[in-house]
Amino acid sequence: MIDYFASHSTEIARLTGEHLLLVAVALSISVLLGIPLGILCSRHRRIGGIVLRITDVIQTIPSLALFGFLIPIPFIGGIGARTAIVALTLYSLLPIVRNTMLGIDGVDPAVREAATALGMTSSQRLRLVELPLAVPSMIGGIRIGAVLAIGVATIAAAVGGGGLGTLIFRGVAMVDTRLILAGALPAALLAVAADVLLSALERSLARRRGEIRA
Amino acid sequence: MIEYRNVSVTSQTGQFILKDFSFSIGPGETVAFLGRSGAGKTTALRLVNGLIQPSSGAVLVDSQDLRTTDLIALRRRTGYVIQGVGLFPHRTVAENIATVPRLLGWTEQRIREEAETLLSKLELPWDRFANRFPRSLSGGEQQRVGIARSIISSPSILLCDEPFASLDPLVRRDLQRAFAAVNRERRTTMIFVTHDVYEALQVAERIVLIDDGSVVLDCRSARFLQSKLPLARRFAETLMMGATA
Repeated sequence: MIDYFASHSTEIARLTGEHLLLVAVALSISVLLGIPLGILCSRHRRIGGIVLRITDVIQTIPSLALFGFLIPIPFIGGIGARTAIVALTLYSLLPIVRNTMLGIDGVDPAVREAATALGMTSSQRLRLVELPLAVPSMIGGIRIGAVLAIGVATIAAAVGGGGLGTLIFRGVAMVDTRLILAGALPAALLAVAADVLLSALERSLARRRGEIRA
Repeated sequence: MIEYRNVSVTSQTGQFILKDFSFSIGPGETVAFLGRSGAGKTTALRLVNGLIQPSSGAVLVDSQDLRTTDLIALRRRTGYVIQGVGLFPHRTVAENIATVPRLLGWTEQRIREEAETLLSKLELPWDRFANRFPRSLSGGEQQRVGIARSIISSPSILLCDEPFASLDPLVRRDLQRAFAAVNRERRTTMIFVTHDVYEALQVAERIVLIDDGSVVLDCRSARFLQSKLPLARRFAETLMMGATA
């Protein structure tokens, strides 16, 4: 097994890089979209409810089916990395939106009232108080989104998106367990690494402001 | 100068929370809103910085009807101290205190000087406390920081909602003293909501007794204990019990 990994190391490394790139691009887009959406959700209950419902529904679509749905859609679909990125973005959106909203909603009402009573405008309150306090929760959402995206990205190979899924699909087709593992193991390791790193970040941010006693 | 003109506040179910409030508070006057829980004291207080709007009638601050006043600017010159303190947990003591001065655009040097002086008056040495986060402070220390944050910019009006209610009795007495001293020096117009007669007598020169949404007694603090009003008698008795306990 180790020999197998060693002899294919260049290809595994290249595909791991592709995999990471897919996830990084998709995650960046969903952070850029998800945080404003999360803020919107916490400000306007009605719109928020609808946004959450939609992201929830997307989450329940089996990943392979989602890729399938996207292929025929003009501009965003087709075969290749673009479709994969759209799908991964949609998947990782929900935890980011939800955790941003929960983080803002979770701010102590006394703190919120103090901010208003001290004469902050509502955008100052958001920028200076609510968002900073929501950061650990937002990082938590990004962490869940990242782990999710790393897993789902293995399916990207099915639509020609590349990444470690390429090895898995080839392994399945050739009934070669070593080939499947050559794709699956690095993908699993990436997911664990992302989880550990982002958890550590979440904790260290919380600790810095004394929310968790070190 | 704070003026309530026939102010009523009704709940969403149409019940009166405040009924026909009409009186004024002069500049530099210190007034305690005394009453039982749910009497409407807090509502009456929150009208003054526009956290609540009256259902009818008008609230005027410095002769300005709050319906046509810039509430953000008003709040920046109105201190507000509450039981829950509401310190920003992600900011140090120094940063918490700097909140309003920064909104007002003071220089960092001026903020630092004022904050240091004020903290030492409230018996929190700058060197030991400035860089700590609120979670690491005791309840009494947090409340002192909350007071400093509310009064650093020398607000013309100070609104206090049972700020010491959750503190243990000894700390509470100490803090009442420190607080009264700082205020005497500043001659700030103050409304102090409390259900503790001792506290009302300690910090305010005038007592407005509120019951069931209405003002039932409005008198100088010195005369409160002589009042024949049954509710006032009952409050006065709690003082005697406190003294013998």
